[in-house]
Amino acid sequence: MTETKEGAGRAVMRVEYAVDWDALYREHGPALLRYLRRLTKSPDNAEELLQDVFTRAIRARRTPGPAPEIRSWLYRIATNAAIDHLRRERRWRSLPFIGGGSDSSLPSDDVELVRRSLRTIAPEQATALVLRLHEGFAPHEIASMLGIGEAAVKSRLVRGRRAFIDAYTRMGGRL
Amino acid sequence: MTAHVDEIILAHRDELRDEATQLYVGEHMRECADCRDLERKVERADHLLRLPEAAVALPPRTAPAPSLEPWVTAPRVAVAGLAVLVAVGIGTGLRQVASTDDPGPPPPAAVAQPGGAASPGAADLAGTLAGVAIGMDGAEVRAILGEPDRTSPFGVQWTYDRGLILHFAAGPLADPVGLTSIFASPASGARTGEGFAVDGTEQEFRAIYPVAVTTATNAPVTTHYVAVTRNGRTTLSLRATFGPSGRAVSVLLIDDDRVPTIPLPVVRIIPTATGQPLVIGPYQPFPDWREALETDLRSAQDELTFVPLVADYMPIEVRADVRPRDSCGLATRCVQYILAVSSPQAFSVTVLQGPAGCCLDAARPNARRDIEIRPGVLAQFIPNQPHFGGPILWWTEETAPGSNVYVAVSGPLLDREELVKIARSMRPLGAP
Repeated sequence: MTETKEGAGRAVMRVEYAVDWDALYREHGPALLRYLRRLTKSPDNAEELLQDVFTRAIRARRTPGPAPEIRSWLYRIATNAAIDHLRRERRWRSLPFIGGGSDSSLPSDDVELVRRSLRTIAPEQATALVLRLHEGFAPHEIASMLGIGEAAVKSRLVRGRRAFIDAYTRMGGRL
Repeated sequence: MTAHVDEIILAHRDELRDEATQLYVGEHMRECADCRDLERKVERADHLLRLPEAAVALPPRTAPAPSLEPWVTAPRVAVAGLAVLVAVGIGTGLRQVASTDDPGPPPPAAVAQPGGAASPGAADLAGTLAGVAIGMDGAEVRAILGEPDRTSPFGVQWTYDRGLILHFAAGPLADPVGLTSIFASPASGARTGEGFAVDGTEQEFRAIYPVAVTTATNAPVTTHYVAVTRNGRTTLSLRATFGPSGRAVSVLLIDDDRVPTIPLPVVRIIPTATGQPLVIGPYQPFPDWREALETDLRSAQDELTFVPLVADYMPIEVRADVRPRDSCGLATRCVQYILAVSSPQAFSVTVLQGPAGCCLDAARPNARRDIEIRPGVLAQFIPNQPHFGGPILWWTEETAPGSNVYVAVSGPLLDREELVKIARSMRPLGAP
């Protein structure tokens, strides 16, 4: 990875970074995969999104910083990918020849019902809830990760909780 | 202005309440049954949202080619590309097929039959891809392709980073037998036995396999499919998926006949935590679970600051899945293994280990530990309900000089006696 920086003395500095993407993939892949799985319909969707996350990361040609920053950056990409995916899925679901029916054949255990409920609420709220409760990020961490204010995160969490409770009970879950 | 109690209940898990707000909420809650109900629901919803996702194996990373769109680089798409589709059978007109997420085989609307005649010009499938043939054993594959870059815990999946994934039917870990499927991406430079290059065009594929069924998924992915049937059943099949450039992004050759059908027993095991006998089945036993567990723990050992314990007893033969994790606090790394039957997900045991002080032992330093696991090692039993993960048995133990380990064993369907049996079967990794 190459990045060009302009130094204080106006000298142009060319910095070469060797990024071990395989190592990053091995380190962060499992957690990101579980995060994406929570938000997607099938393990294949999650795996596909995970590949997409790393493809986007590599193409961004951005210099990863220290470890916590990389983690946060990858989660940011994963969140954007998940939001895109959820929006796309929602559009497809509205088409008459797709969707419908298939959900009813899914196992109805708690985790599956949670996933299905999350997919019905606003993608921004769903990702905020999963980042907060499943991944354990604090609101201020989510805010800096997504580039929004902390108040906006809290608002998403409040609305998300309400929407999730409605969705979960509407789908037959007991709270 | 004070927010409505509903808002405070929904938000309070993310921010601290000041004393005045607490008082206000407390007073309000005493009077308001709906608010109490909401608080209970929020508590339960948070618990549900925290339920962990089952650990899944990390798929091999695919390197993006600069000239391709991101989705093209994900070979899973190629397989999943069969998801929701309309199949056009050659000479059979347009037909609608099932909508499913399972990338299983598309309907054999038109197939090539060896020596037979599904349609004129039917192509036989040689059953080879990337120079290896369906049915080969591990040694034969190794002789052609070399050592795989990665193998799955049970040795049935071999991955070559240059873009090949192979599955075997079964067999010993070092040398599995019966290659059942070969998946190739363009990076592999592979060709089918009939000469189709994995990065070839749709026209080239059509020229070699004129009877192939065309299936279309979410545009712009297209899959072409050709198969051999025996006794009216699809067996060997070849699926090529093409991207918007019209070139193949993956090819999968699979022989369903060789995918093993193991007679699955139904087992009745120990009384569960609920006191009811548990029947599991049909389920696939994993007789090699001890070996797999020990091997995986050894490979995780480098990441740990302690010597973990290996279990030697399980009520039934289970699959082992070992995962180091870094969620045990700052600068500490734990290891968790889940021993489970894969389908149905009816039975599982989770064993979490970390450096002493990482977990429950820090939260409950004065807990009464009254179950002797080994001489001088006392454990505490926590009778959690099955829907909260089941009972937990935890203790701390010196597994090697200077290696003080926290251990927690839990399982939704296990009772105290079974947890103790598992705990007593555990020994430090490397110890006889």
